[in-house]
Amino acid sequence: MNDYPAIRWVVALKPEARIIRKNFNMSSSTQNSPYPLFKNASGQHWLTISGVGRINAAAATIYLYQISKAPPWTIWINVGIAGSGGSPIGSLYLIDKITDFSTQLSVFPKPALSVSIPRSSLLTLDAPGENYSRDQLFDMEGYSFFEIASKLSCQQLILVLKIVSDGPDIDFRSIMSKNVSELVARHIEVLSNVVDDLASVSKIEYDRLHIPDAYNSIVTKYHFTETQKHQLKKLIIRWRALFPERKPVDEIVNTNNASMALKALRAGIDSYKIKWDKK
Amino acid sequence: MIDTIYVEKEIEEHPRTRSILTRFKGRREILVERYGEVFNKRSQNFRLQKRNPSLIIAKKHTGHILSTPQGFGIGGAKNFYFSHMINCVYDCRYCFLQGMYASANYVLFINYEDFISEINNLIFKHPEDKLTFFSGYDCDSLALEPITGFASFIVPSFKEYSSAEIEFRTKSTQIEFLLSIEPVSNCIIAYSLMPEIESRALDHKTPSIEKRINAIKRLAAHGWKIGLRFDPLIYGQDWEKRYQELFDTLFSSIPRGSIHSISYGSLRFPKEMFKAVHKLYPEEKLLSTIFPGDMDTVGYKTEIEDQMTRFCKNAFSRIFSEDIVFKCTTEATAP
Repeated sequence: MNDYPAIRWVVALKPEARIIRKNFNMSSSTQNSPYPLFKNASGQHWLTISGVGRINAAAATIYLYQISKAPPWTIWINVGIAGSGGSPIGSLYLIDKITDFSTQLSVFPKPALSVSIPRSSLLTLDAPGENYSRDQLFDMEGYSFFEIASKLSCQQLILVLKIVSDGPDIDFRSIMSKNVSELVARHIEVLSNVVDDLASVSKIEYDRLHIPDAYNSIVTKYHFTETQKHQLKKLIIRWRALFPERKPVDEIVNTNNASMALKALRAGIDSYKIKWDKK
Repeated sequence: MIDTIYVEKEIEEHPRTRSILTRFKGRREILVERYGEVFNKRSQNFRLQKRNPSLIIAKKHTGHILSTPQGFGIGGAKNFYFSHMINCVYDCRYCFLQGMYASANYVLFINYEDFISEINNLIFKHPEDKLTFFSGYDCDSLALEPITGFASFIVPSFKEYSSAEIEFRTKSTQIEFLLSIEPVSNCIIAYSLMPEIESRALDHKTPSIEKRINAIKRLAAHGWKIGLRFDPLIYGQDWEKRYQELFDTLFSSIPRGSIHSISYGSLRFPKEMFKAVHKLYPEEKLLSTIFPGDMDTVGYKTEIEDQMTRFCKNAFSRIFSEDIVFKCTTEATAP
């Protein structure tokens, strides 16, 4: 089950990546890639460093999706530093509204998370800004990341987390690489909890969407037409719900071809009567 | 527990919005332009969102009252439905709402006055006809009543509409306000019911059948007219025995004169809706035992459907006059 859990990290800066890579044991994956790429030994965690800005964030997210063959139950996480007019430096926020400064369009992330993290709105700017307001954070990637990730996974598995790094009293130009890593390090335990928490939610999607092993063992046994393959998939899904203890492959031992196999499975399903008190 | 409430800017200061917001301590309020920004986006996932739904307070601009599908009714000449909410606090595995929207968030339309005004218009337009209005098509009519106050707003208006009836369909036991007012004779409180064992397996987060029956008894004793809704009928081992027991319990504990109507119908989904629901809950046994039929629906095989509807018809005809018993047909897919 190497494709579960599937976690994909998109960060803008190297120092943001450093602590996450270390914590989840990710090492460099390829040399000649448009964006630096890291993964852990099992291939469950992948991370890319997008660089600053909306276009980079969007392109890196798509790149990571393709190169890592991210399945539809993937958890997508964007962690990064952000400016704030009112929050203390180092505060971590779960973002629940992101407005794109240039279009004024908003998206509303709401991951299926039970870990409690303070929440905030975020404004994604085209260029670094110094007009800090008190009621939202500022970054340059969040909107694009969420917009693209929403096309690759369901919104309930996508997180945007921001750590306040600068504000009216601390100029973003003065932030040192070391400081950024320290800010991320301060919250690494929360990030681990978030991953564990969402992994259990993602399991629901994995169970729902992955192709059952039984399908692969039966489909190679006989020659199935495309239509028959489709029928087989549907029957196996029903079979799994009705007879979780019985392997479909055992039900077709007395069959000689695809058509007979489908018929045998269908007969079993047709004759099933639910015992509601045993459910 | 609702931890996030999205509010449309247009109704941010509406007294009903303000009052509802005060009911949720510690919630986060997020302003939106229109509720479509946060509701039913394609990449949302109904099943995962159902784990912790948010509330969206919105204004309904059009389509307040709609005609029911053919075959849905309890004897009125013309039937209409409306929903002051989209989505339900309950999580019933046969509910079409699972396949209808990608989002499980609750949308509450707070411009209640516009619903009444539309109802008025329709009654005025059809002076000769008996109209029936069904509340609770896209939601449970009463489940969030202590927060929304919708039923308590609309019920008293029906005192004036002698040519119309209104049905509140529910599984809820939130009936205190109904017990605190004089019953309105053309208002029906209709309960969705099935045997307790089936209900435990399929009606998630709902009051038990026993609690629903107790609520029915209290409402009947107070003078409200009761609707009994066995839709969908659920098939399985010993279904006849269990439905008979349910009927016996109900008919022995509710005075016959309190029963306004009974309706029943077999489990059925429009094909496309079934596909969406089955894809969301592939492990659900119920959904694995129903199949596409001749019509554009998915349901039990015809012989099972016939067997169940015949059983109900016989059971009801022994006790009730035919004109209060209604069979929901294939075209109508009730929540």
